[in-house]
Amino acid sequence: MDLEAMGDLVLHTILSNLTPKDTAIAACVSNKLKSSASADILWSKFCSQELDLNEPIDPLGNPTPSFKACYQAWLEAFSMYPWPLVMRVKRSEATLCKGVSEVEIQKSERILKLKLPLPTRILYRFCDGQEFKSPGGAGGSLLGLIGGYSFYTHLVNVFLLPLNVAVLKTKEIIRQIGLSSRSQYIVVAASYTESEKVFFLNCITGQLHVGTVNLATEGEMIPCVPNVLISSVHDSNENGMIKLREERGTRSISLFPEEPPFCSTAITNRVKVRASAVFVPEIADLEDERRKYTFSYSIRMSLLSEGCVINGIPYSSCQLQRRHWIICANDRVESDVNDEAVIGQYPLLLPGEKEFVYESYTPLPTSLGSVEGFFTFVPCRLADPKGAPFEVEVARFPLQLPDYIF
Amino acid sequence: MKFCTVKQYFDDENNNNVTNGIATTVIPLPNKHLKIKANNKEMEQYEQELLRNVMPQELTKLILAANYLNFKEALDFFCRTVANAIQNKSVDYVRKFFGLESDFEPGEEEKLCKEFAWSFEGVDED
Repeated sequence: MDLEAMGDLVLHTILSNLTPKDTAIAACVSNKLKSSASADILWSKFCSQELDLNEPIDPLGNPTPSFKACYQAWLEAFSMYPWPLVMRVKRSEATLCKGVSEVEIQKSERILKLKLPLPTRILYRFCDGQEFKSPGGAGGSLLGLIGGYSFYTHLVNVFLLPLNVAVLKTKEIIRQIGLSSRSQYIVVAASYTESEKVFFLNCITGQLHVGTVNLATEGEMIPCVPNVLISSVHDSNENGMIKLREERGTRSISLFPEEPPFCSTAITNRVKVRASAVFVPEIADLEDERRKYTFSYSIRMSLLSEGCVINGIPYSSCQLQRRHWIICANDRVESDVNDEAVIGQYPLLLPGEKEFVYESYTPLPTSLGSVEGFFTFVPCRLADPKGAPFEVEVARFPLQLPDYIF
Repeated sequence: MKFCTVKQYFDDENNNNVTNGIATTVIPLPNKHLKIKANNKEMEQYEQELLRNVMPQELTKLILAANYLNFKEALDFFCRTVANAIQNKSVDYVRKFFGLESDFEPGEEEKLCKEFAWSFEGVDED
């Protein structure tokens, strides 16, 4: 490939199609590439796209000499976190509010008649939660930093509440539930959607709790760290447990696990199925023996790029016909479902396309269980099947309370 | 309107910039594009087919042709192809691809690799 003959403009056009990583690699190749790859216009695009920055400012707010230096500064400062998550949080920074003053914290404590634990005070001094802008807008309600999930009509996405909102919500709920004003609970995070999910901080124990379906009537809550093991959102992100999910044009933090052992993967006849579940505390009903715990599960299916091959015969597509689930509670079969479609749909899989994802849920009488089963697919299409139906395995995935309930 | 230079090309008898072989590839592109204009995916597939058989040397000629003919869409497309070809590849691979040699001062290259150490993670093996 003759670079010299092509000229600088062509070289620049090639480079402008590269990712920051590949641009950096190009800079290490030769002097000519180094000078083209260092063009600040390339790096200003990266800063704008990935970090929402229109000026070269480092994480501490100081100006840097170039956009290239700026990008490097951010990379270095956040090198201990997965970059996609850093980008995500930086872009939703618009919703994070500046910290409150010591005076405001004391005022809130007086109103609620409690004392915030030290780490929580410091948190509010630096960052007063997330501002929620549009009460009706679907896009805005998915920017919660704690993340969430959705299945059927149940949608939650949890935001960190600003202190003044936390105070209001706490007073409202305490009145609703009839908790004594000496209860020492403060609402710290909640979902701004129709489905309610509320997180409480117990100011005496420092423990976080999440309300169940009986919150309004009984004040029922589940501690977020049932085994008193401290994990963190950060740890979960480190090993890829929690990822970003693109849905309806907005990216949100999805709590469905993405890695084994909580996410299972199986490939049959080149159809790949991944499955994992998340505990839904706000629907849990500790008073109901049969439906105490509810788990939502997310199934992702795709056809590998070589297409479907059954008994040596290749097919360019396949379509789902039926599902067969075996749901176990503590190793005992709880339900055995054999029915058509999934959430009323018959997904058609084409080779190499993005995964078809859907969510559903199942109640369980115990906090530990599993789901496994298989889908029945037909080669080509349901309207025009080119062969006999075949079964695609859904490998067993666990239903269990996580170490840390979000 | 896409071919300001084409008229010139046909008027010019001794034209070294665009050989016949290349012309037959590049020139039909806009017509095909118009035909499949609505369907981006088909265009992508057509383009992939076209380029599966093209070696890097040919790609240089295609780019030069598109440049000379002032055919922006084709130029952008060929450049994207080059970018895809070097996606997630090592420094050595990119060097070989472009037929370049390292012309850095001793020690300069190490300095650069240190500065951009973050970009070497997860790169494809050569």
